[in-house]
Amino acid sequence: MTEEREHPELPRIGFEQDDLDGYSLEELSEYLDRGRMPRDPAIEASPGCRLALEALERLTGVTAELRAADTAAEAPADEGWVQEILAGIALDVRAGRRIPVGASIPGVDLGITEGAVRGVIRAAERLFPRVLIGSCRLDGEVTEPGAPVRIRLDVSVPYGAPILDLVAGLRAEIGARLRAHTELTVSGIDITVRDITVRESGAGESGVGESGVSETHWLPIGTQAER
Amino acid sequence: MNLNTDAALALELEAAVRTVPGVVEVYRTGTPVARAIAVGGERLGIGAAPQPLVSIERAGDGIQVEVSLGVSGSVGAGDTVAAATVVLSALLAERGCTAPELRITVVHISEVPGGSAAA
Repeated sequence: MTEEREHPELPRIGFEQDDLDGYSLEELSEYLDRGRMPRDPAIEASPGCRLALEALERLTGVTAELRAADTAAEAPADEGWVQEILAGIALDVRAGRRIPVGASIPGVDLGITEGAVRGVIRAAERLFPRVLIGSCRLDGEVTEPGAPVRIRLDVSVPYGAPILDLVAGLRAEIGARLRAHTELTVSGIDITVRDITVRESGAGESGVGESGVSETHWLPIGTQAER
Repeated sequence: MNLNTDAALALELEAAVRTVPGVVEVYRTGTPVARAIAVGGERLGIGAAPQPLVSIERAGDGIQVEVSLGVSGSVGAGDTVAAATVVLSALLAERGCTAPELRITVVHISEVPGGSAAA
């Protein structure tokens, strides 16, 4: 059903094509590059593909901006963090576990997939310019009503942004989204800043260094119980 | 009930659930392999008419209905599926289906400008 095609911007990452209903990430990226035209009903009818397209769209916006900066600065791009983001996307589009919602009613079984929840968490990055969520995990027994669940995220943030404020804002937004769409008992949202992306090379006051586009910092930024 | 009747009922259920505020899309239910086979068959023109997106299973006098939904982020997912339950249950009752078993799963939440229902 699918063909492997070369797409220089997308490193190959391991994932199950079942999660994308037979499509590869390369094919979806090419579909996105065409502006999702002509509309492919099979792709649009796949929730996994929709999640992947949305995440790729956000990632493409940020990487395009960084590449423009790279070209201007004539500095080599470090795309290791892009690989991490893509790996996170590949994992997130899996439907995963089924999380119950709604009151228990005889003969009625209502639920939401883990993939859908990760998708709405990941989409929170849209409200924070140049922030990208890499991995996103729901740790705990999400299928059991009332069981504590911890959200764990790795993110990359833009250089110069006040990290603590940004992370606090992202945590609040994600917490609000989870309350709006799930009945999960969220015991905490752990956000680790794994990368800081800079738009211009050069040290100067930044102290970042001259050699690359990004530097990697691991900063566990506290935790906060949401419920 | 024969397959044609169930197929017609599935289409009715799909049309009904699409009218529920907050429902953006109805997705095909089933395992990834089953979905791939159905989609692949449709693309190749193999087999009968396109398979309904809503799944209906019969066991004795009982009926099991399974629906996979894409919902809008502007409405809480729980509220949307609750409303879908009311609509589907009413339609099944009209069609003489007693004690149906409904399984509704949200598989995608569409982002809205400015954020989700949380905003």
